[in-house]
Amino acid sequence: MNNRFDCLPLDRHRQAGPMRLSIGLVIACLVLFGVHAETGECQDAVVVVADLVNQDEDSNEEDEADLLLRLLINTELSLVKRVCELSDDQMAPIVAAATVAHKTLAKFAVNIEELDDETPNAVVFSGNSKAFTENPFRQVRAEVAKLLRGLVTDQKYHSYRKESRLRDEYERETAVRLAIEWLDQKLALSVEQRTALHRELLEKWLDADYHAWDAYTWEQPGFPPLPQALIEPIFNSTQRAKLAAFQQESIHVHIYHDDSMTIGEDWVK
Amino acid sequence: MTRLPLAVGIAVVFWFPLVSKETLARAQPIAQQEMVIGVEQFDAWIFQGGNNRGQSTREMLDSRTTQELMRINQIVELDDTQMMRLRLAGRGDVKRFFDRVEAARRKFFEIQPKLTRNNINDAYQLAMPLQQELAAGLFGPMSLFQKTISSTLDDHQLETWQREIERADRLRAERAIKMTIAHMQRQVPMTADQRSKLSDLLIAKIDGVKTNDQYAQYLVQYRMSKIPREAFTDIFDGEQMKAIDRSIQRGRAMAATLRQRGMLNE
Repeated sequence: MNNRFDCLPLDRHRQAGPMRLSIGLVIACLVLFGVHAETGECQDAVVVVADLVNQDEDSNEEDEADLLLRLLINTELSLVKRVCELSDDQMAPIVAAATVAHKTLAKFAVNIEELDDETPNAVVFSGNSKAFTENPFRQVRAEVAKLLRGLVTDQKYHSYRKESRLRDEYERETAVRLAIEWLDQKLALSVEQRTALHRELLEKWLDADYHAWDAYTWEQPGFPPLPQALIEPIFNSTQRAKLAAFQQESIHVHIYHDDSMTIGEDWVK
Repeated sequence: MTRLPLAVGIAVVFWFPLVSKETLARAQPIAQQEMVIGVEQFDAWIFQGGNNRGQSTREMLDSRTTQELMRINQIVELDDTQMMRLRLAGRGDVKRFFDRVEAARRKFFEIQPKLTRNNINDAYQLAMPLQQELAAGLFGPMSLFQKTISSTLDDHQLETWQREIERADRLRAERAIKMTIAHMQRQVPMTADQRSKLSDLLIAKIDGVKTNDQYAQYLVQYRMSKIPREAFTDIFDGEQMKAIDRSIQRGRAMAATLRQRGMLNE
């Protein structure tokens, strides 16, 4: 077992089973994998693995992915309640629809053993034993937006969509900042280059995921997934050469989720 | 299409302390069972897991010196003499660090035969300052590198470079706060208005988060614990506050880890 908590390759993760972290905390951690070296391909290759670790030693690993999805759905429904200003009664049909959506999403789970280094262009989210092939945050948000459309007024629906868009923009801007900071550290960017990168990435890098990029703040030798076709024209020849010298590596995003840190409104039971 | 090997693993997520068994073991070696401490373990305390006598750290530091030179050159355009002086200063800082490592090793070898479970902390205390120094970065205000910047750059260059440092510090602090909020809102859903108010609050109240250290977020959490609770209750409702309170408690719990990494002096 790899004892480095900030470096857990997929194969070692499998061996490790539920990683028991200390001081009574359950940790959320991300590990990305599946980065193609070819220009422009990297984003497709991000594989997200989420791992729910309960403090309860006897927790059922089979249910981990389901549980994580449920937590994400419940968190999203809590946002819906606040943004749309709904009573509990008004939430009831939304919760019923979300319960169905939860079961539907859970059906996309696959056994984590089915993943390997060759898993093509997948986004996978899992517990220790199960994985999903989509970024679960995006997936849950899209599902909730879909089910909400017929269940609230147009005005409330648009309020939710606006909030959701603003949140996505905030998260994407966070990812862009992290990426530029990383590039600045590695390539020494000029003021003009930073400005150009910020403009280009914010406008066109729609797959940016801060959660995955946060992983790279933990000093790693590899090169994170970036839309190289977007960024390379901004660099000079020295920087391009240096960028090319960095090794791209396959990465996993691995999430431990502590439900004691969530808002605790259990809409979907 | 080239498929590169699976390798990099990462940690972090939501926004609470990330402390592994190994980290605790490093921090509290006395808690471990009967153990024979070799120099490899001693090095691992300093270099955070490395077992090649710091060789990879030395390479990393050399690379960082070059990067820092490139960065300065991008901003103020150094001439050859300035470049050479700064490179030498950077090498000097790295050498001085490894000289201190060697001195610590010598002391370690002196006490090694007498180490028991009861005094193993003596060895750890030799390693810890070096570990902190490394985590904080070797090119800080007291470094040869920084002193050489001051003595080598002309006034105009120095002023430009100082502005760049301030800009970078501000961006790093903002980034750490943004990251903390981004993580928070994936567990405690908040409206754009709440997010904006929280962001304003943290930017106004939290100071001194300028580090590239991956623990910067945890420093933000810790600083949140110093902000009066009323500031948060003005923003969040009761249910949200329950989760915020638990998070703030965990921020407090990070103090020891942050001190160990040299990020907190309080």
